[in-house]
Amino acid sequence: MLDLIYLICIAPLEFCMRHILDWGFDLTKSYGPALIFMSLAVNTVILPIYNKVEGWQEEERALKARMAPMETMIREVFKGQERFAMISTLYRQHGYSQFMTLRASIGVLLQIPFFFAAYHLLSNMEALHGVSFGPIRDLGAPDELFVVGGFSINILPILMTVVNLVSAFFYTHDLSRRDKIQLYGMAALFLVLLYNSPAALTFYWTLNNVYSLGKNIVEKDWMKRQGWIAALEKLAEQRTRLAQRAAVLWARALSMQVGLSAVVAVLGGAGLFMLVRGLLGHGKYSFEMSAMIFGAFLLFIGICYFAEEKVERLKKMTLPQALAVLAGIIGVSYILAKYGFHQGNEKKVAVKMALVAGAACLLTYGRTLWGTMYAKIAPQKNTLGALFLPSAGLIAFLIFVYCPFMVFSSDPAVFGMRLEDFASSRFGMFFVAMICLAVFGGLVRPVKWIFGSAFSMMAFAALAFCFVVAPDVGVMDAFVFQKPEALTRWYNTYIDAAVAAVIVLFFVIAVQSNKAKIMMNVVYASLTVLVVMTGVHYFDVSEKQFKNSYTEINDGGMPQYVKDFYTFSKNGKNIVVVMLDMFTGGNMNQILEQYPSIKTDLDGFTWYEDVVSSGSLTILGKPGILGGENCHPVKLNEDRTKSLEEKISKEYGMFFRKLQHYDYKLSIHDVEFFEPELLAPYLESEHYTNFVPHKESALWPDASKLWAQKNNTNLYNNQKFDIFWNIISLFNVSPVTFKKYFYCDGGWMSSVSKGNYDFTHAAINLANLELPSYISSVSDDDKNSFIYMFNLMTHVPWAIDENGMPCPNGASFESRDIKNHGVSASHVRAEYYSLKTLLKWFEWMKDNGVYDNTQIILVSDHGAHDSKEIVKIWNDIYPIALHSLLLVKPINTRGELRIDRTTPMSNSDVPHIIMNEIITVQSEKNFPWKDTNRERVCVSGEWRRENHPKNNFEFSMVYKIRGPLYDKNSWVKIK
Amino acid sequence: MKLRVRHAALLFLLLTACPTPAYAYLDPGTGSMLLSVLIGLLSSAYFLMRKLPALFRAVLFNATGKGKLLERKHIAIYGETANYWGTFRPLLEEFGRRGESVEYLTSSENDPCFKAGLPDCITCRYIGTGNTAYTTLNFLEADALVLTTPGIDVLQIRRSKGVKKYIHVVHSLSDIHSYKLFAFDYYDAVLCSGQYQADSLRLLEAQRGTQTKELPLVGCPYMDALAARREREKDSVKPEGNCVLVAPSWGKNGMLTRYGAAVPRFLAEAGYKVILRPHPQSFISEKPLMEQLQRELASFPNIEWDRNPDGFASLSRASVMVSDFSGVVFDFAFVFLRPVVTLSYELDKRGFDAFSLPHPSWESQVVEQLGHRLDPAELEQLPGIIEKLASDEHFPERILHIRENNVANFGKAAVPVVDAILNIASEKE
Repeated sequence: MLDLIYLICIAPLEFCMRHILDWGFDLTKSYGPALIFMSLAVNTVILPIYNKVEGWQEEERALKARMAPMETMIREVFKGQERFAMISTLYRQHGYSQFMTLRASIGVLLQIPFFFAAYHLLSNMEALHGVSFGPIRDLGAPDELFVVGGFSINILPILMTVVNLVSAFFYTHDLSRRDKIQLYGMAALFLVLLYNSPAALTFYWTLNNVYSLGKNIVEKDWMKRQGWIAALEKLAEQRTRLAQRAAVLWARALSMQVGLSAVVAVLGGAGLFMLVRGLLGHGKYSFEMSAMIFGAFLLFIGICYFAEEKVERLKKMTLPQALAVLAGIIGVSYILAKYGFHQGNEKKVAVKMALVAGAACLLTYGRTLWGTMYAKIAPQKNTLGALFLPSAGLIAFLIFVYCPFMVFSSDPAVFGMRLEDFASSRFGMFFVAMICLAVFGGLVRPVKWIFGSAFSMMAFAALAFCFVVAPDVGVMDAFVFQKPEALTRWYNTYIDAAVAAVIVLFFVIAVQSNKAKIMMNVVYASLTVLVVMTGVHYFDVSEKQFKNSYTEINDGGMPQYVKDFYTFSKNGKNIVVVMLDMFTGGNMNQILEQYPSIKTDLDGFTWYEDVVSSGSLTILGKPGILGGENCHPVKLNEDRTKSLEEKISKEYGMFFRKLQHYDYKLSIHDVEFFEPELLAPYLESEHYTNFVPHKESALWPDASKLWAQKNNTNLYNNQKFDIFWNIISLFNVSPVTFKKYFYCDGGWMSSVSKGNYDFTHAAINLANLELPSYISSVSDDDKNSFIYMFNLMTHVPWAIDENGMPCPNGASFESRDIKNHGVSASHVRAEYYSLKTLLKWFEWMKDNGVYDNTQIILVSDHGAHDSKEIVKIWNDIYPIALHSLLLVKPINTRGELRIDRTTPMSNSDVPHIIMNEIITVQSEKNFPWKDTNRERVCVSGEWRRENHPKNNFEFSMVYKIRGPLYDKNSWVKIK
Repeated sequence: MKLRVRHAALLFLLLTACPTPAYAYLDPGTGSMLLSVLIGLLSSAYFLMRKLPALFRAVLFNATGKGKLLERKHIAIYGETANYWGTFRPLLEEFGRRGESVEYLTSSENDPCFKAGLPDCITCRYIGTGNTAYTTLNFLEADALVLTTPGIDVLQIRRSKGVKKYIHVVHSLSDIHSYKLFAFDYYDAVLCSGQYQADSLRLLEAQRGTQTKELPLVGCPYMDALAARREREKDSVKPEGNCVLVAPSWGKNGMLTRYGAAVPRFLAEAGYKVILRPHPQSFISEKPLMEQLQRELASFPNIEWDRNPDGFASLSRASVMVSDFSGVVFDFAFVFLRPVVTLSYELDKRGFDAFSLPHPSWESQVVEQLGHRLDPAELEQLPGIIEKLASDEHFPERILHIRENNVANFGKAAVPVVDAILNIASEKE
């Protein structure tokens, strides 16, 4: 409980004070002046509050004095219950409540949180230790400025008390005895509390007291002597008069611009137009015209309804006059539509028409309309003014507390914050906002009713936008909505207009029927519900966090398909293919150079250096890995009668069928072109398959959570969400039309950095790469096992730091620059750690006796533009990222990494390599790399499937490599 | 409101207390479904809560067998004691004549109303005394409640939300000065007998910032009832030659409190037949004083103590009255048309509305003309004054003139009072 009080009341203050102190330190480079700066700043900021409280005190004292004769008389004459009743009535008649006494003593109470904040900040601040300032040796310890016979006395606390007493003695003549005793008591209490505190704290508090004394001298002595008080009062009077005049101006402006008419106009014109449009499909010009005229009429009549005298005039209109008016409206509308707006689209024409009609009506009837309204508003000004703080508070609560709580509570783990920290930052913002609003309310008191009216309507609008007409955008994944198209629906503007109209209408009706109080009820009811809901979420989250720490760590709800995926055969053979997306084959040289131990770690592997991928992008380079040369994009383009999916599935299916024939259980996780329905006809259904055709890019995205728990880290812990909370709140309370500006396609006005995405990306892929090293299992049956998986850890953004951990800003911190002689440090690092992570798995295989009966193939679908040797021959930039990785460990092979730099390999050789391991064949066909004149083709094009035709790929570039990859003469551009 | 909101929130809480888990995905914080439910619930809860106090009351009253009291009435009248029967009787009779249905509530179990043979449209109901009665009154539903009790919404009787108008009928001609502090501040209307009452009330309204009341000038039904009785019993109403009625008020300003036995003893010694009729409240609030006076005056055979609740007989017999600021002065002067000697001394205004009123009360100005205003220091002149007053033949004429100028509708107040009540009751809030 104490914690919570601290978090809500003191932590935000301390936070602000700390920033001011840091700021002061930055300016002066010393903590002494920084403390003076902090004292000045803090006291100046809270000065208006103190002045306000003093105003309250004076108000209370004056009221008490006015009531005194009656009160004394009542106390003399009446007794018991009767006395109580009489005094209550007296208070009631003078508008006095016990709350006023409380309010007036806020001055004393207000010091407490500031005191605790300063105490907490300065008495625990490491940075102050050993820092000297003037005669003070160490700001982090009691000052001990005066030493008598080995006994040191702290001067600052005494000085502080003296200043305090001087202030209390000279400037409290008008206080009651009780108040004076309270003041002296406080001074004594502070002396006792602070006597042994660090000098920084006592120095700070002394400065506060000096400030207060100075304030007293200026306000109560100097200003009085200079006649300032009178001048100030005069000024205040003028300000009030000015404000009143401004209010009248404002009211006039209001009646011209955003009065009821504008809304009726928009609704009448545009709404009706849209109705007709909707009913008749794409209605042409005549329909638009009629819709607009109806709209204008509706508006005309609507306004007349409110301006009664105009109704009288309307009734007196003769038929020819009415026809003339009608003709006039039609004529003007026609001219405006034809010559004024015809170039815009229909929707714009309608809106403009309606606005023009509305403006015209307002110009004519605005004042009458406003007069009618104002007659009702005038007696209810107090009620409307009283609406200001609760309404503004409701909005502030929605923005600063409620909406963030809803988001936070849906999955606290995402934000890596303790609930308490989150809550304190939110409530802190809310309280600061409330104080500002209260001060503002005090400043604009003469015209507060305007703000009360405006804010109440805004509050209702915020509630409506947040809860009633909120578009269904789906849930958020990595801050991106699943259904963002809801933010750009064509009718969003009309929803906004309708909400505005309903709210303005509600306001007008409430005011017209003298029931402005109803709005107060609505505001308070909503506020209560929001507070309760927030409470529910608070406890819900604290419960959730509690549960998390106990249950999720074990398997985190791991799905069965994941548990079964990595099953090895003990007695038969295993084949493991890991496709590492964008792993540049040439980078193996850098890895071997930087991390020489990898050479022994890759036990039994052969690295083929001269490997060309069939495509420079995943959808072009990948199909060959499982489909062989028949899945080369060029080959796939030959038959244009079938879709790419059908053709690729056929090749995959033939390959899988072969594996099934040799008794292999298949575990395959892939994305594009991996479609089990299309594969089914080629497979033997009685064989076990574990196909994971995820649209997501990892076998099990939630592996990252498990990983985060194991590594005691958080997926988003490097990000500050302070601004994001406010942006998503604004998103929630804003009109539907504006929501997209806050959303920014998932950028949330840059409040969630892209770096965060990088971090998540790296964490998910790292976690999935690590997963098999602790969930793999060994099966005793005689079936063989084939496992195909892919991983994106080696793909941009390469967000892996020097320790092999995900980092928030990806490769952007250091050069991703491929011109750096073809070496990208971050890419190499990501590649190295992907191997390193896989090595853990290989260790597991060895430990479980399945390393030797397993063929392992590490292959990439394409490279990046960073292969050092190729960059060298091409002078920096080479045209097509074709350098693939190929690392193969045959069955029953051990020993240091062998390097084959010459064999001309392709990444679509993988099926051959596998089949050659399973069966012994001597056909040349199965060893295409033995052909020294081998031609390897690599193509490039669009990276998304939907940008290619159904039956073939479209290439933007085609290169043929005939001969060694590192010889520029081998490169032949075909397209 | 607070209560209502709390209930609504509680209901809502019960419905939403089981949030769904949301794993890796974030809810953007809206959820319009939930809010449609919320709005529906909120509005129904709001209306339910609005009705709750009434519901609670109904259960309570039905349980205690007072269900009938809850039915909304057009006009209700409350008589605090049987003493006010004089005030209400003319009104009830007038209502009866018009066939207006009126509920008469009384705190006196043997109120004369039960035997008065009132028409069927007038219902009489005993509602208990003290807190029992106040509870009923505080939950009353009526367009108007007419009563004589001062201090509505200050002392025990609070304003009921179900009563639109609280109407006070004056039961004495006294000015506002002599009423306890805040007596009329929370009435909607005070039916006055004289302009001076309205003037004083307007002054207090301005000073205290209380609501502007309706103050029709209609008369004093109590005086009418007394006058009617005198008319009925005029054969027995004959003053006895040298009979003086000493009828002081009670409390700190009362003559007996201030001067003890001085006045009755002086009159007895001067040979008058003295009827000493202290205020009935004196025997309750000032018992030791009464006992002491009885002892002191025991030796005078020509002093007769009158403790009859009904003072009519004494008023009839006396030819002159000696009093202080008591309202009984006007009963004697305006109904029996006989002179009054008023002891005049500085009154202690504390605890009375007089404390807030800057001007002297109407009665302090008018008593001079009702007989004689006597300084207690000149008590020895009293016999001479009594003599002179008793022999003044033009006195009744002068009194009638004063009555005409100061009391509205004397003898026929019932009709305008009932008119005023019906008017006020049918006004909108």
